[in-house]
Amino acid sequence: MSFEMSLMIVAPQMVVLGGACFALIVGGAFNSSLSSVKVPLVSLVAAILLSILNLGEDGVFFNGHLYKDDARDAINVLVYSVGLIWILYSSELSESDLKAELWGLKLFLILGIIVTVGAASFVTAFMGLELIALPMYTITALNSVRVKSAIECLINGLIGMSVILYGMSFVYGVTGSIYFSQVYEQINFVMVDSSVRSQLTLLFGLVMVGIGLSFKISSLPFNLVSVSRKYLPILIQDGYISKEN
Amino acid sequence: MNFVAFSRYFSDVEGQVFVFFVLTVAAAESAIGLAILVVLFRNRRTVDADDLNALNG
Repeated sequence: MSFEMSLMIVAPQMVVLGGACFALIVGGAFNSSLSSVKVPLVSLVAAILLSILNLGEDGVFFNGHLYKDDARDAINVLVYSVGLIWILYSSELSESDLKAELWGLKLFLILGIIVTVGAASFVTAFMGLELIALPMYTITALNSVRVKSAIECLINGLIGMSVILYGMSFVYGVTGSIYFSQVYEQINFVMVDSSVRSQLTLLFGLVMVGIGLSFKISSLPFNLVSVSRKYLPILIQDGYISKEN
Repeated sequence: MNFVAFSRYFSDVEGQVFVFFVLTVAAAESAIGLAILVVLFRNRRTVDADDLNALNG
């Protein structure tokens, strides 16, 4: 697959990334959140159109780091559309919740979801998860009432990501690859033909990745040790819905 | 460290490249954490964990 072809495939992501950077610059320069809301809207509409234009080009791009097929195309269009509705909805927020940086951060969050969906290696999965997490911490901290929630969310995310990385390193150590397709083949091989020690190490790595992901999204039973349960809905509202409460 | 060790073992640079990404993102994460702490100090005039009990259930 040529590099130009790969660039065409990630054109929607590049538009969203450009929109996010531009929204941050416009928001910082003019300090007016309502005027800069047009930037994310335009970039998301452009990303939806480019995604529809790119439909049907299946394969693995960027040396195996990014995967693209019909299901991922559909999810990408869905995520961009939901993101568009989300930004339109949150433009109705009160003036105290509307900060100039809000739109750029939300675009980065949407970009993180898209990168995670298309991930075909540990590197892109890690970058996507972090692109989701970092704007979430910042969006939570934008409201001065919820700064402590942001710290709890940050510590929670850091622990979760550390566990994921530790597990990934063991999976890499046993399988010798960071690409999901090769890791999958090697898992099948190790579980059948390899020594018990390799099997246990691989299982340990996979379990650590699972635990880290569960911890990061506070799924059962890790919600008991993560961010204060009472305030978790507020965090989710802040991060994903940004609803005034 | 695991990535670098395994990368050396396999004679494969991918693990070491991954470590560069991890280091960069960790630096960004630390910057965000410190910025949040600065915001917290501006609001409460303290960063003492004992005084930050607003979220206690």
